[in-house]
Amino acid sequence: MNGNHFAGTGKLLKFYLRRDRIILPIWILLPVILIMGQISFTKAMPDWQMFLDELSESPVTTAILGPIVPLSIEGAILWRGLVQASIAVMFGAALTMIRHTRTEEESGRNELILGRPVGRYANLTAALIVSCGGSLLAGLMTGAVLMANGFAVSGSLLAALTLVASGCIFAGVGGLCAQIFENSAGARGIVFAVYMLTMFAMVLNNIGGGATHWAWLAPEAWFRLTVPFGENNFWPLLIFMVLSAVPVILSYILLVRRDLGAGFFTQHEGSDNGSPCYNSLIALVWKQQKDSILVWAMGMALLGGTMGVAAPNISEAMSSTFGHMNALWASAIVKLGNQEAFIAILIYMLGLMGGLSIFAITAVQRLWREEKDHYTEMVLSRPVSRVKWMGSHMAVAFAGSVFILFSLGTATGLGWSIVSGEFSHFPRVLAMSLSKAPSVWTIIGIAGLLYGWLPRIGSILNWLILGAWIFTEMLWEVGIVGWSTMLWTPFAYAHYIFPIHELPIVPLLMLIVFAAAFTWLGIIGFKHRSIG
Amino acid sequence: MLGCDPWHDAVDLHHRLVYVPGDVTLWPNLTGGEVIDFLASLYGKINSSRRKALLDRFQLDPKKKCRSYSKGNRQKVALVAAFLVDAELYILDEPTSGLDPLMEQVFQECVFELKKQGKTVFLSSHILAEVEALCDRVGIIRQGKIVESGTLEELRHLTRTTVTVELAEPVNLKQLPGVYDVTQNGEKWRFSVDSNAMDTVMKVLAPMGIKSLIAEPPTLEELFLRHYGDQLWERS
Repeated sequence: MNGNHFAGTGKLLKFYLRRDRIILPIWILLPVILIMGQISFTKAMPDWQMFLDELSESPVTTAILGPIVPLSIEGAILWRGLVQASIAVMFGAALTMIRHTRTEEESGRNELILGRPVGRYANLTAALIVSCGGSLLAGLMTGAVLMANGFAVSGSLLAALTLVASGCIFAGVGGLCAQIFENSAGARGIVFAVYMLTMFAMVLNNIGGGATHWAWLAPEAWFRLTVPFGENNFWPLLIFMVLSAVPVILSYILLVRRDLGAGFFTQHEGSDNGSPCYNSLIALVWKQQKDSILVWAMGMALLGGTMGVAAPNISEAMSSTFGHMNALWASAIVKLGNQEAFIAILIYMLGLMGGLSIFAITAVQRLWREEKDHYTEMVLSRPVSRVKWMGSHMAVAFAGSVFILFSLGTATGLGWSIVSGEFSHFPRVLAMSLSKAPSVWTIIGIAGLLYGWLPRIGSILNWLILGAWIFTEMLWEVGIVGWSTMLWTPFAYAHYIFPIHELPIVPLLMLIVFAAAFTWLGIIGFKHRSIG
Repeated sequence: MLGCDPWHDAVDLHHRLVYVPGDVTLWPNLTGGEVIDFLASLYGKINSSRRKALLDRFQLDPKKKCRSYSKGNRQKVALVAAFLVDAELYILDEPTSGLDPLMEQVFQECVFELKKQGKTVFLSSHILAEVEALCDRVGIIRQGKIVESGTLEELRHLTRTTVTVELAEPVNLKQLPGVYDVTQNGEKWRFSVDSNAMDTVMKVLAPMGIKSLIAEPPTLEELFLRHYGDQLWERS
């Protein structure tokens, strides 16, 4: 290989760091902050030792989150903290790769660079250095935070390196997707799909007791193989390195075997005239959002269906002390029984807190992207009112979210009913899933409001608000804040602590009114500001 | 190309040439100045006095973020980043489609300066007036193949001159060999004539009392249309 192929890598690297001056520190610091948060509130728990014993005894929590290994304060911190930190690093690394390779090629900016004395591998190499270097920095800082809290050096280091490895493999996955797919949105979608598959492997691993081979397929659960502060296995790190190298090598091979701007798949021809049912604005919007809605629906159906099938394996033996624990969620589990509680928590997490809330925000963020890329101009220059344009997008987001919830509820309900032979579960699970719609709509409404008035910073604000809600939920779980604080989040009104037939209906109707009002206000804002 | 293999010696070759793409997209969160410096620094040190001179000439504000630039301004950024580099060959792919006439003038001056320094400029353009003003040699590409190439003079030789003439006496021009597209408006005649028939035609016209005579060499536009025109003709 000619060394010349890497010419200019250093300069490109400097340039990328300048471009990423805001986004890079965010995704590097995010895992550190998540671990710090986990440390501070595990320590803040009045009686963490008893709490951990409870959690690791309950079949429901171990099935969802896996057992706490080792059963110590360090183990409890990594138990959720390292999963969250890994997910942040994985997405940071993968999206950074796509941003500097495929997005650049797609926009034609790459031509400006590649016409100059720059080696053909320089761009991919510089992007890899940013992604893997960012993961390394995030890992080292996380390790430093752990050590600063007085935890063992070897365990802290191992936890840090495991985190780095999860970032590096996803840098490779992102880089490979960027080589294969012709547009960056497609590549990002596939990265997300790969991530969903890893989640699937992680949950299977948790249900299987936390130490199965499924963990190899889930980088966010790789700490279950290295077991920092426990067995302290350093050897899996070597295998992680080899695994991470595979997509990277494939990326280099593909890079020189394809045309600039081309992907691995050739574009097939479409129809030469618009079919009459696609000749309206809402049809155009649907056509643009269709792929993401379908992928979400399929992903949710797959995850939900598997969990539904797995549910009957969960023992109904109730942990002895849950009954007199002073927490709403513990009494809810007692009331629902382990299997139903497992399903209810799962539907809550996928259908609202951790799943559909993300769909809601990304679906509305699409409007800003359309605007930035001048597609909005194209449509609005024709006889189309702004109200109609934004309204169509919002309508598709509202309807799409219901469709996804429907497929989640159906798949989960069917899975559980068929395996357990008890078909009365099905309507209950479907209702659980659909009951999340008003809360999801509220999130869509708020996103629309922010888009209408503050399009530039709207998306950041959206994520911050969602982060604050999730943080509130976590504080509530460990008893630091009470239910009255939870009521400030839309999560509370379709929460898993309410058995589905006891869920109060009036607050849900109120949420629908709120969602409509937010959307209406957002459209007013959009009508009165300038485009672009 | 320049005695090198374009695939294997890409980096060495690119050191000797500069390319400006037709569609210029820039990094939205960087300023024009940052982009110019980055692109030029890939070749080595930047001549800062030349940078300032170019920015002044193109009237480009380098402090603005690229997301706020118009198409013309983005092209200016790419052009400044290209002219800043001291290369042997400049490949410009329709670089001026977004520039106003004033900036077009500045662009042409810059190209003339490069020419004076003995550099080669390879310009692809649909603006034929620009090509006519700038280029020594012209090639016409049709459906991916070069159908005509040579100096403008050579190309003109192959085709007809348009003549507008005012005559005192009546004449029958349609009979003459090498004369085409004759139109008459009172005393005024307009026709096109093959280069090699020019002599005969002039001898016929001379005794007819010429009041005024305009002979226009074929414009590049006409040369161009000759190559593309029959395609349109075939279609109709």
